[in-house]
Amino acid sequence: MSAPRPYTLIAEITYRCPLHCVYCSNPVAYKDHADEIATDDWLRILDEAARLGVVQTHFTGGEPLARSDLEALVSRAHERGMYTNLVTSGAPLDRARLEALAERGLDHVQLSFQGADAASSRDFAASDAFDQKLQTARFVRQLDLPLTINVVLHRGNLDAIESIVALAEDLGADRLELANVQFHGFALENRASLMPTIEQLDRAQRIAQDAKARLAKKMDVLFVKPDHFSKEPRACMDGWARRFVQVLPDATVVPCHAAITIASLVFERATSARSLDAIWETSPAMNAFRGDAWMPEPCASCDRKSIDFGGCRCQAFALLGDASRTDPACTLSPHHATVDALVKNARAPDASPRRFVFRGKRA
Amino acid sequence: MSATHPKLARRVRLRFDERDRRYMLIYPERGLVLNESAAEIVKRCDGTRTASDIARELAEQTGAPIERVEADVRTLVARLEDKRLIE
Repeated sequence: MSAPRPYTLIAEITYRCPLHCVYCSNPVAYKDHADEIATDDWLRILDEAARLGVVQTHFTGGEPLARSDLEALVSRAHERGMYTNLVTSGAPLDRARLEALAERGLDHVQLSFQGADAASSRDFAASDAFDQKLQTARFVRQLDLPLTINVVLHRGNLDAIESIVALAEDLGADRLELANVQFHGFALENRASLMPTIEQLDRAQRIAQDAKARLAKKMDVLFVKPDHFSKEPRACMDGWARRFVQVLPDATVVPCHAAITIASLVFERATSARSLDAIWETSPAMNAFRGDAWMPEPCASCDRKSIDFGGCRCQAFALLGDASRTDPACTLSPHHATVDALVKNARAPDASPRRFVFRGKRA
Repeated sequence: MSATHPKLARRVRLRFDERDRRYMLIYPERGLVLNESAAEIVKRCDGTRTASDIARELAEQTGAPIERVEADVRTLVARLEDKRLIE
């Protein structure tokens, strides 16, 4: 089959990060891919991405500001007509760099918070970065760059959703992404401590909907119910290797941040000898779950297969050990009981103490 | 209330896509493909023209009746305002 056009490049340029988030979406074995390619390699990959049809690049990580050549990469993406987005923790705090990035054509900043107070950064990121994040948000607004505040929601911070909305409002954010935790990477390690209760979620969803209506003219408020609590699976990445292409710090090309965990697939590295576009189009791993020929029942005859693309392959692998099975988050999956049990067993928010694995803090 | 001099919101860029030979709006996480007449309207949403100015220019250029063009401009601007793409 001919490869679809990817519109978005997720450039995970480094795994270095000053934070230690308990729900970090980086693979638990991120150190296996932490060797960083040179500036020229990224410039080549950006050119190749543009050739593939990419119109938007997210510079992310790790903390993308940890790479001193970020300015050069943003410049190149901008020259290629791409919309450029910096996905940052807000630490290290550096107004001069933000200014330099804005001059090079940075279009948008997405800043993460762990919650609405300093304790949230300490509890969920083992970091004192909260005040720096606030200051970074102010710099972003002073430079008249559009700002998205992103907060990963879970059992430990869902009940603070009113304060989170108020914080985003105070900071003058254009968008607020309330991203319920997906259980990949470190979030899967910490699932028992992160899993919300249905009551927490329902309440947070109501408050988010009210905020969305109240702030309609000022700020976009996005709240997506997590797939474990929905009837249908989520349209993960809008389909496998379809609209998004992601490149890891060592140039490994993947269709999403979790795909590297699928042990049965071999992901290739983009090099001067093997281009990003060649990998996108011909790599067996990229083609493994494209289209619908790979689908088992009940997906193959499902009228939603072109809507949710069979859900998440990484989740099928993580929970069932086989990436080609129906996503167990789907109520039609013969293995849905696996997900149902996780949800029903979620503990009350104030029950037993949390025990977290912090990213980058493990021996 | 709609803006008197519509312009693209600061997070939105208008881009000509060489590959598909059409204009699109790009903004965080999304894109919106514009047809030819919508692109001609959006190009003129620069904060210096009113909807009537835009309609007059386009009517002169295309020879279409001004009332119809103005209705089209207002409809599109309102739709994009709803999405907060124009302010």
